[in-house]
Amino acid sequence: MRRPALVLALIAVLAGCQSQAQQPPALALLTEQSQANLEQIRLVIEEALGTQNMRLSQSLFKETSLLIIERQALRSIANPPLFSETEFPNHFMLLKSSQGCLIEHRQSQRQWVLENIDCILTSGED
Amino acid sequence: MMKILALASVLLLLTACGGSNISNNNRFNNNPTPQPTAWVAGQYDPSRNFENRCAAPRSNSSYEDLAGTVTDENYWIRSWSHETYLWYSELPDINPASTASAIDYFEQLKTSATTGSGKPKDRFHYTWNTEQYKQLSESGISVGYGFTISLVQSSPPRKALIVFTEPNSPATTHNISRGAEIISIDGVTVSHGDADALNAGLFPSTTGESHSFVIRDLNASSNRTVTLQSAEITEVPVYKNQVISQGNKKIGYLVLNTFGVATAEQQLIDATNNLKSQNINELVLDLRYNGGGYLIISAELGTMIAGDSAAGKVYGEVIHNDKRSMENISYPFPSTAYGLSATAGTALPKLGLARVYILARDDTASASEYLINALRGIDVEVILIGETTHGKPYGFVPRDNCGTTYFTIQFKGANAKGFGDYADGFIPAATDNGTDQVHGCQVADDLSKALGNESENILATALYHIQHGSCPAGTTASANKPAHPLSAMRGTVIRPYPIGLILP
Repeated sequence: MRRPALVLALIAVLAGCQSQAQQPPALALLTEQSQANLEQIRLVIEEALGTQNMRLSQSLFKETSLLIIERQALRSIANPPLFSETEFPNHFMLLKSSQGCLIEHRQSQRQWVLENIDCILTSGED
Repeated sequence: MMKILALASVLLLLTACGGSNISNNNRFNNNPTPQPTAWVAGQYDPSRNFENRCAAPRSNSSYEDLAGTVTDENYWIRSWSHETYLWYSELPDINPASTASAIDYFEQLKTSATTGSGKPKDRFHYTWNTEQYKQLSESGISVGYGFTISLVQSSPPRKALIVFTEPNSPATTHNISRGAEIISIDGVTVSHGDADALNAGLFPSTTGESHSFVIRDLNASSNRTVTLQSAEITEVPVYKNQVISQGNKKIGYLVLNTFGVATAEQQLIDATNNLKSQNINELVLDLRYNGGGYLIISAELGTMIAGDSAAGKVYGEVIHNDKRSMENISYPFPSTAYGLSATAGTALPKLGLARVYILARDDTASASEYLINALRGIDVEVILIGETTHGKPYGFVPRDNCGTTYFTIQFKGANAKGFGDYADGFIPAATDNGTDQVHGCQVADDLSKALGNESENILATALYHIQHGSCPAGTTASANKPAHPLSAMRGTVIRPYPIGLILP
């Protein structure tokens, strides 16, 4: 009697896992723009792009799930103006999945799971 | 699909008028070739033989710098320039061992030819510290006060005037607006003060910095002092989007201050949808402070203005020197958004206009000029109101070597008719000569009125032309007698990025 119950329990757990795993990540917004949250995300983005001292806004992922990163335009009268020469921007998305909140780099589709950060699903956004 | 991607890559490259292949291309340069023992005039070894040999190699593992000398760096500059410079046959050949600084050596490697007006043909030859150049940020986000200034003169006696302010910024909170003059910063006068002190105040590097500004507002008889605290600034590329009714006409007025922020793509789509929903008959596109940016966004705007008449037609061509002619390419007006900030593949809204009024001055450059040229290339009538544009039909792919990113002109652009020779800018003229003279009216920028004010000189001139089909009396450069000291202002617009902008 004990053994069938155990098997059933195991099946239930596995089914649950499978059910969770099948939920595709969906676009999300941060529930809180705390400094700790923003710092963690900044480090993820810097790691993704191999850079440092990234400037992100305090309203990151507050109204949109899309983060666009581009090179800062430079102008100077010491040199001729650079006319905002810009590389193709990198796009990052905040997603929510069974694993929690994720950051996905759209171009490479690499993902990073955020630790102890809450987010809520949004819809109709790209 | 591959073709689309290739095309998009080219457009992005142009964006840049130098996309930025700044990472080191030679990943296999682990067997350095011995450098020439002596310089031989006219003999150029491949630049790859010299790349990444640095007088001060970077320790960062993302670079493959090797120990070298300044002379090695100069040899690389010499060969790379000879391979890629648009006018390589006009380059002087200078002994790489003769100059102790790579940047100084690079400065000499450009054409000394002049344009028809006597300006240097190459006004776009410069370098930047690679780490600075690579600095990234969230699109449109910077640190500052939210004002953009025009420096009437960068060296003493200087004069700094506000040309526009960003909404919800420290500048607007303190009622600083267009036409205000900055008299001093932290007690240092703008006219003759220490450049470093002025730069530190004007261009804060972090949020929360406090600096004291003495301001003279437009029409004020006395100064006032405000303490501005630097803050996060969100640049709004589409600065104005309104409809002006004039008789039986509905005139769209769109101020686009930059193509250089990805968010401009979605904002332009939204703005065009708005103007389309209001059934405008005419469009006045204000590009007077637009120094360029993503060329692909300017191409999208071209489609949004011209509509179906642009379908399948050439927006522009990229033409390299004769050694690299295989890389020449032409690219069409796009029918859908590329996806810089809008959803990729979204059909672009179309106004379907046969003519457009473009407001311009010397700061109108690069992607803005490409748009003017491209529209004329498919016979959309452009009426140019304001001043002669900057004159930058050229582009480059910036290239890093040993920590310096080099910008040297590598290609020129041309429209569907093959025209691209506007190095002296597009000139508002009584008649359109099909090349650099564009039908329009010459009138100086007017800082005495807000952007969008129908009596502001440049906009007023466009509105007059729409109504009467001609320029108002007194709008040519020689005859203009402005009523207000700031109603005919010339200067160089600079933006508040954390780069030193004031010259000693």
